[in-house]
Amino acid sequence: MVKEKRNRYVIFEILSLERIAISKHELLEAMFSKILSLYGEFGASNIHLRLIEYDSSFQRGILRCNHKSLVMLRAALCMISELKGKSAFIRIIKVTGTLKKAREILNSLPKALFLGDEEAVPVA
Amino acid sequence: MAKRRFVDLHVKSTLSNGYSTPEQIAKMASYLGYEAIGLADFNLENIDLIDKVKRLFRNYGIDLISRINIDVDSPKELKSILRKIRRKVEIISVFCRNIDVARLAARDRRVDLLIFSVESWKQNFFDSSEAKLALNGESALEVSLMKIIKARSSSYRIKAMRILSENIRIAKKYGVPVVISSGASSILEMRAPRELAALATVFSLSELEARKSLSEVPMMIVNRNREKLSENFIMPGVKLIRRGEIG
Repeated sequence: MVKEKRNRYVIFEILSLERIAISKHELLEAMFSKILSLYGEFGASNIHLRLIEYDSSFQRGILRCNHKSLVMLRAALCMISELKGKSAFIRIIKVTGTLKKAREILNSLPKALFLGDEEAVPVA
Repeated sequence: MAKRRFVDLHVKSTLSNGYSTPEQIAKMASYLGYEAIGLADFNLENIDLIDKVKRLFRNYGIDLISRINIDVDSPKELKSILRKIRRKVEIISVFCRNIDVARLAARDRRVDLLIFSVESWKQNFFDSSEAKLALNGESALEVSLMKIIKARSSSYRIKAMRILSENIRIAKKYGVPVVISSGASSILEMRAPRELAALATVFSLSELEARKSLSEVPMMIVNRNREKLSENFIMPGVKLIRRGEIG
């Protein structure tokens, strides 16, 4: 029997020109603020968003959401253009159906930030 | 099922007033999963750079689409510029700042994309008449999402979203193609195609329509223009297959 409530695990990374020291709580707040501005409190409650883990050294993490609200989450994450006053955006690396698979993918990613020093250019 | 080829038709680099170099743009585009990028940096002065930048993008596996944005106040100026550049670039877009320019741009088959202001209703000229002209003139409505993402205030964003929703509603009603683009002027303003498509669903587009607006629709325009720009093109549906002498 197909489960009525299914989760999706979203592996994401923060892309920025300089490293952003942000806690799990602050990151989740930034995400919720965009979800609220796009979909309101009722919409936000339907996403069932939870930040499962966040690795600040490589600025990557795993989010959990309701499978029906994945598009809403993608749209809200797309709206993020700065974190802690620094220009940045969130890229979704992969979406999985199990946490085990999400952790496997996260651990298999190269241990380096995509944007190095050579990308240091003035930002609009 | 064939893999979808995503295209962001509106990105600016340091070749014009952008903040990232073409190489940084190409690298980021490849990382985000794009197969083609429309660089809106070109003008009459730097049009010779197109081949060089195309080679640079090819090194990163990205197909560069040359694009010129035309921003003029009178239809006469628009006609004059179109005459000079149509055979030189793959995509021509027009900022429709007044009703005369908007109507001419929609009617003229040399124009590919129409851009409308989302700042106020008075400056937005995309109505049913414009949509009918655009349909006959084979031009598409372009929606750049950076104006929404980087809105300076909530009230500005709300108004911009309302105008964009209405424009997309009219375009869908009359069958005018919609092209979604980022409108990015630096690598940190670029977004992955699926994220842009997800944001476009806010404006009454289905997920499938939004993804098509970032892949099939722009590629259809580009392929049509590339065919027209090829030396073997004679007229739509007729092309030269082999040159030879008669008799």
